[in-house]
Amino acid sequence: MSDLIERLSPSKRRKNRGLPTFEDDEEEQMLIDTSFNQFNETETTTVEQTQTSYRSKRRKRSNRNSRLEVINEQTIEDEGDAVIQVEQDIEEEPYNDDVQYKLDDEEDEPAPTNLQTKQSSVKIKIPTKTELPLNRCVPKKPDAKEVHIKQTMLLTEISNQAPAIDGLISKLESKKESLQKLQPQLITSKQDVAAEMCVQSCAKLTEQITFLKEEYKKMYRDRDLKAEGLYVPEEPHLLKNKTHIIEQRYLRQPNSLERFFDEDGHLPQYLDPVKITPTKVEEDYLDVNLQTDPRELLKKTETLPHEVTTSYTNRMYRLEIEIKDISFNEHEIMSEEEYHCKQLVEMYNQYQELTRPDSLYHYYKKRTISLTSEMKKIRNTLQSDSDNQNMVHLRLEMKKFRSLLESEEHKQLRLITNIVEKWKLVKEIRSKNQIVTCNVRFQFDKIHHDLAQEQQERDDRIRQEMLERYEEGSTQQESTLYQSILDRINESCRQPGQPEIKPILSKIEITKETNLNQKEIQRIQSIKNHEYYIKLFMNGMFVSKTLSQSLRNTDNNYFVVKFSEVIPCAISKWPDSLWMEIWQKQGLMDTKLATTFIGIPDSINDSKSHFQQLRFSCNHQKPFIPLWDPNHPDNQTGWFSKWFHKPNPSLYKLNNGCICIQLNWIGDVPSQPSTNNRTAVDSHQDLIKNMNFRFDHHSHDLIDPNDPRNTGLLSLLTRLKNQIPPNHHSFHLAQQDEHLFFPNDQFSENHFRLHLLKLRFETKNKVPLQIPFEPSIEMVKNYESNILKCLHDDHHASQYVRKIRDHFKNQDGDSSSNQLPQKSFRLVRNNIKVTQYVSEPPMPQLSNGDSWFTLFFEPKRPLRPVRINREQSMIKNYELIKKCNLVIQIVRGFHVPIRANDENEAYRTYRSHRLKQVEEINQFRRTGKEPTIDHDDVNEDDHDYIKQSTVDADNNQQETTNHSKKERVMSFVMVTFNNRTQKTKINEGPFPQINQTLILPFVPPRSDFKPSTLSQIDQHIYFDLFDELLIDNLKDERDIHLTSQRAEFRWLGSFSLPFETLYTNQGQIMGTFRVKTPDIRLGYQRSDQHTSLSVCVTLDPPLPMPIDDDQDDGFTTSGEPPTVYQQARFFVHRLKDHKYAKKRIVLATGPNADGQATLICRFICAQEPPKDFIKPSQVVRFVSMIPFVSDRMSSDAQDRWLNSQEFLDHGASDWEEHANLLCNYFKYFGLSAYVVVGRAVPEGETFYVMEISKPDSSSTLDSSPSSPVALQQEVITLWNAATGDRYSIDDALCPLHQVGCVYDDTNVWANIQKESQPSKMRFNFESGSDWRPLYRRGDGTPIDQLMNKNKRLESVQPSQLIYRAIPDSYTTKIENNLSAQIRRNVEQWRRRGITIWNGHVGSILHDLLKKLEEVKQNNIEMKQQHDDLLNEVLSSYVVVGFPLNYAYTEPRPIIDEIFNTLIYENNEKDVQFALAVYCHPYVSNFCSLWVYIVSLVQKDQY
Amino acid sequence: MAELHIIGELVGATNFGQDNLFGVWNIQKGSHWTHVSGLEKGQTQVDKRGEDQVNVWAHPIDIHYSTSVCVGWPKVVLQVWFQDGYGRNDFGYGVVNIPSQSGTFDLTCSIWKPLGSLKDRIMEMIIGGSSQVKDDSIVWNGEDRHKLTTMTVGTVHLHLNVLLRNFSKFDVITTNQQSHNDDDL
Repeated sequence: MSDLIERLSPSKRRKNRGLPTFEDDEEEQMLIDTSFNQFNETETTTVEQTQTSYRSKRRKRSNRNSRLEVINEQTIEDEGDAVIQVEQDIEEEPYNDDVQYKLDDEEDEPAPTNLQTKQSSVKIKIPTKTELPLNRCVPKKPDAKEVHIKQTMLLTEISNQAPAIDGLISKLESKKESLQKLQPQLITSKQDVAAEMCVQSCAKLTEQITFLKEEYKKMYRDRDLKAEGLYVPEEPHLLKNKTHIIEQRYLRQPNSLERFFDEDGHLPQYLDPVKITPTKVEEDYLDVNLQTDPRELLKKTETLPHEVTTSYTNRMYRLEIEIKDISFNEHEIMSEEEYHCKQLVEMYNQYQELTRPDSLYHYYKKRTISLTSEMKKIRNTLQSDSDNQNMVHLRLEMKKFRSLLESEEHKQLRLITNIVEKWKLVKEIRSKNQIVTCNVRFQFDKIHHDLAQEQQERDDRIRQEMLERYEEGSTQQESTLYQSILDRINESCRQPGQPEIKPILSKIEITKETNLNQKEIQRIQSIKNHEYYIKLFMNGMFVSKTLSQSLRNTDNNYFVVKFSEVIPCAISKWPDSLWMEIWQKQGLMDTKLATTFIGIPDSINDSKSHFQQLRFSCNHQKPFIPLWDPNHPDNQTGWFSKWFHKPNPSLYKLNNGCICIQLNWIGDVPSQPSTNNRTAVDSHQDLIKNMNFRFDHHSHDLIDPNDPRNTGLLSLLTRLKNQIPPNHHSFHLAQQDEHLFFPNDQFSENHFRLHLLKLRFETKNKVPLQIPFEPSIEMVKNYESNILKCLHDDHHASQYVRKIRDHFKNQDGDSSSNQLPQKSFRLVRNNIKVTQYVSEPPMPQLSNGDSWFTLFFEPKRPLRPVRINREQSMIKNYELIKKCNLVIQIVRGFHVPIRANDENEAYRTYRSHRLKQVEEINQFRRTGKEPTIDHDDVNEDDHDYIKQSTVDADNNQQETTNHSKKERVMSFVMVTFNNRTQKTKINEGPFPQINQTLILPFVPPRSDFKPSTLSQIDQHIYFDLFDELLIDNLKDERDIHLTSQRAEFRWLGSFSLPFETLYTNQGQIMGTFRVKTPDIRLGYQRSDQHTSLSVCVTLDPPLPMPIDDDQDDGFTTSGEPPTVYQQARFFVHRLKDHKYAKKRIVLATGPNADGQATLICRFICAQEPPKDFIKPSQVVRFVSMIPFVSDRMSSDAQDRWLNSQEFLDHGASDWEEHANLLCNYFKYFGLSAYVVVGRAVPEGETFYVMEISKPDSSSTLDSSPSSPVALQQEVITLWNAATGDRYSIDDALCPLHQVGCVYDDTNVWANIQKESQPSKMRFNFESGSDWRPLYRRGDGTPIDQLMNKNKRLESVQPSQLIYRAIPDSYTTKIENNLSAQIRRNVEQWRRRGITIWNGHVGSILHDLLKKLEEVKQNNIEMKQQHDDLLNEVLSSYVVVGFPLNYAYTEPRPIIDEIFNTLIYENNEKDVQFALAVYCHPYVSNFCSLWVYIVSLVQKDQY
Repeated sequence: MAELHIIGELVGATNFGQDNLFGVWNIQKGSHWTHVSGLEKGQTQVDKRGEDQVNVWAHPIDIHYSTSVCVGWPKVVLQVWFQDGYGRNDFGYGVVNIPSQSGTFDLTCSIWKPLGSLKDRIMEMIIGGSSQVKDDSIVWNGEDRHKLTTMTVGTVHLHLNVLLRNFSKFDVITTNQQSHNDDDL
């Protein structure tokens, strides 16, 4: 085998094949040495080493090649000559090797090519077989660089081994196949030996293939890169089971083995991306790595390492443009002679070109000759089909070349004739002008040829062609065919026997300047004055311009501008465009003559003298008429024709000529933009742009519209012109970026994965976490529909989703599927609160912040509590409120009723006294000591004790003062809210200073602090005033030493605050309230003064208020004419700016039952009360008995103003209706009554009725003693219509504390006084400085006009009110029902003992109640009468109790109130109760309900 | 489509004169970059610095992009807000490019704030509230930045892991892929 290798070394092999040999080592050595000589001497050792390694590498390669040859040559030898076809096939194979050698020798590219790897792959196989040890090529002193080179080599080998070997195997296999195919052919052609050979070689090939495969497997398996000294990056540590999981997952993918696993069946592992120190090879290492060629290494040592590493190289390519000259073919100052001479010279040049020995003519001629000989040869040995085939080819070839040759000959012929003609012309001109301006002269040589020989040649040519024609199958007659061919040849060729004319250019003396005429001299001089220069533009940018050179005539060449300049350009990529502009210098302004585009060479041009001739035409200049033309103005004779001659336009000519330039790339050539990409980028826009350009171009050059060929183009152009606006300034920036995009088609399946990933991110939990690498479209659609469904089902998002879905219904389904999850995602994210992330413990509740701390240092002043100002609630978020307290501060009481020094009291003291005495007697008896007995007392008769006691009380003044004086009243206040009760301490006296703060917890229903819920709470805060009475519980004298007392609570009165009022008053109510006292209080002195309590109620913390709309704008419609409504609104708005009135309540309109704005004056008119009511006091009573229900509590929670009939039918309403009704009744009685709008406690915004009784008017209803007697002055009284309470205007305790406005049926007056307290105000409505009216009489405003028209405002009230009578059965039913309920409840409340109801007393009480009702109506005193009636009862019982009066609505509040009175809390043994309920019917279901409840204790039991 | 993962955190800020800092960040990218998953912008908590004078945010960033073009490589745009002793808000700006190679990176981003005229500066000293950038794009665009005078206010630290996928398939080679040819995860 080694022999073989030696025998077939590459050089030898090449020689054998007759290919150019490569003097292997010597020549290469030279090459290397020369390059290395430049290298630094210090590194010579390294160089040597690299040289050796290089050489050894080469040797290895040659061995490898020979190995291949071994296989091939063997087969060839065996098969012999018979298998030419096979040999040919195999011949092609080594071709690769040659190319490889070429590459090797150049060794320019560090990057391994496929071919190279093929070599290396074979190399791996070789050593084992041929024992060419690898050791030999390992250098003795391993150097770093050496190692690197080796490593790179091996690395490239390793990385590319597999495909290379595969390729080799497949090649061998294909050869085997071809052999197998050949075999049957051979057998059929009875070449048995060859066939057998074929079989043998086939078997050998199979053997080789299997061997290769095995070897490859073995080699590849056993490689340990690390052991071979290669750099192997450290693999990241992966747990075994993790690796297994990953492998399993990949294996599930289709084609997983090829895609994810390397040849070893391992998963390729890469560097750890999260490792902090990057595990890449150091830069210098890398640098050397890439430079495998030592020569390259030399060159590039200076370059930055980054340049190698970064993908973006900022390299510039250099293009050199050499501009030689411009030569004008036509110029405006050319003379005729010059013009023709120029053409002559040009023609001559062309002729020279044609007749050059290496010209096309000669080539064609040679080719035809060789083709004829070939054909002749084949014709002689015509045997097989293939020969026939060849003949056809040859004939075709022959035909082609013949025609080419003839055309070439024809060209030559024509050129010569042209030259001859031209020369004749020139001679003519010269003779005409008598001067010679050009030194051109032609001589013509005549070469004579032998006629017979040429005739023969021609005949041969024709015969030859005829033969071919017949072979093709022409059926023409011989003679005609001959003639046709002869004619054709005669046309193009010189006739045989004619002399060949050969022009020779020579010189002639030109006429001296002295012999020329003046005109000519001027012309010649002006030639030199023409100066030209060239501007160069690249990519539309100006690059450079040449020096300006003048026009001149040189030898053989006329009108030439010589530049000979080289313009170097540097450009980073292939230039888009390159053009030149030729400029003529003309004084100040230069003119552009022409623009020429230059083609860019796509390779380095080696030949230095390859100049391009670019023709140009000066289309930017005016055309001219040649000087010699008779039309030229200079040639015209006579001034007339000079001026008015109009030359024929066809005579106009343009300057034209050629530029001679040369372009050369210096160094590398940038890669051209590939044509594929170009077409892709060439978009519609570009096309249009181009078309535009063309259109402009052609519009200048005038397309002939009549030419039928242009119709299509013209229609297109006009269409385009219409489409594109002329000022189309838009441009497309991004267009060139399209090059940057990655081609998308390769990884399109990834789009689905990315889409799913996106979906997974945008919709939580809707797409599973695991997404396969290659999801199918079905999968994506599945998920999308799933998501949509989920979103639909999602309770929270459903509405939103519907909205979005509606939005996208009109659009495409595709886009909706993407955007829908996005939107819903946004929706979900917006609702996140910080509290969901951060849990903060609540701040410790230090009450009132720092005041808690200073509390210690403050002086304690319980009698003067400091009120803490509560600011309006800043808490907007009601959800933060956890709990709330009602803070009630009770400051003081006024006019608390004093106990009457009545009989019960006297009796009680007497009894205790007597018991004491009995005890003393007993003691005396035991001790024998004289008791100091007050005989008066002892001797008193038991029956007269009452009288006695009174005396006793008087007598024992000193003793009793301690008690009775002190205990005039021992009052306390009990506050009840929501079934919780708090009491104050007991205070003595009618004016108690209580100063106590009670705190009651406030829990709204369901602990819901929503403003809407809070405003619906219908609960009352009850304030009950009690007197605590201590009663000795002694029943027996033996118990005298025991102190047994019981407290008895006597209810004095109560009032209630609706929680709603407190809430709507911004959580704060402060003021003095009148306590509702029963008309009769047994055992208490009756006072004329009303009992009242000074109370402050707040909420802690303040609760957020419901957001109120502006009241004025609350009306949806207006019941008034628009102008009236406008005026009313204007009135109210203007008062908002008033300095005093801005905070007060001013109304001009109120919403009627339909919510329409109505002037409030319309609600007032005189109305007749029911028949029974004949006195104003009765009317007040009646109105107060109409139940009160706040509008807020009624169904639609909107403020409504009902007229009186609606009010009566409705059965209940709030302040304004009561006030209006009362005011109307007063009007009926002829009183001057007004309704006052203002603020009061506790009602807040409220309505009072004001009655002004003039001193002269006789019909004052007022006879009460409370009104001040001021006969001279008018008496003003305020009525709270809802309760029936009356207040004098001077009453400081009047709950109405702020008057906003006053109205009656004629006008509205707003209070613009400084004071708003009624007691401090003036009520003269005529005074403009105190009151501002809605309108003034006669001021012409819309309301005034309205008034004038109708004399008065039309009232909304019905003229006649309808009252319905109440049947008796109704009242008795109520009475029975209520008394039964009260009884049941009282029995329930009393937790111990049975409750005895005294029916007798009850009936007496019932009578009393009837009397009381009368009294109430007539407003008279009845104390005495009452006592008389009760006398009987009082004589035997201690009676505690009171009558209560209500406007009847429902039993519940009545029972509640009774519960609060604690009347049932009587723990005497034999206590009895008496109850009377009396219902006094008014009209229309309104009743006055009386309840009298008393507790009875027998006096002897007391 | 090539893909890019950015996983890491906004570590914190150092060298700031003020305390109580928080950062607002967002990612600016070219129009052909598609956001696949992860939040592209965010705001950290307000951090009061400890004894080591470092404001720690430890704000996670985990974004997945896909792209069809290399132009417009994403960058992190930062705003750092702080409150001075009188409750006046100031803030600084900064931008940092996301590295275009896979690996782990500790990045620092210097934060600057625009300085106004002398009058503005005096006003700022007395009243407070530094001048602010009207259009945020100047921070990452940088075209008109030469008109600004700025002052350094501190440094923000980022710790990012960058993972690239399929870039080599499109012949996009970033630095440490050329040597190992291995970005295919």
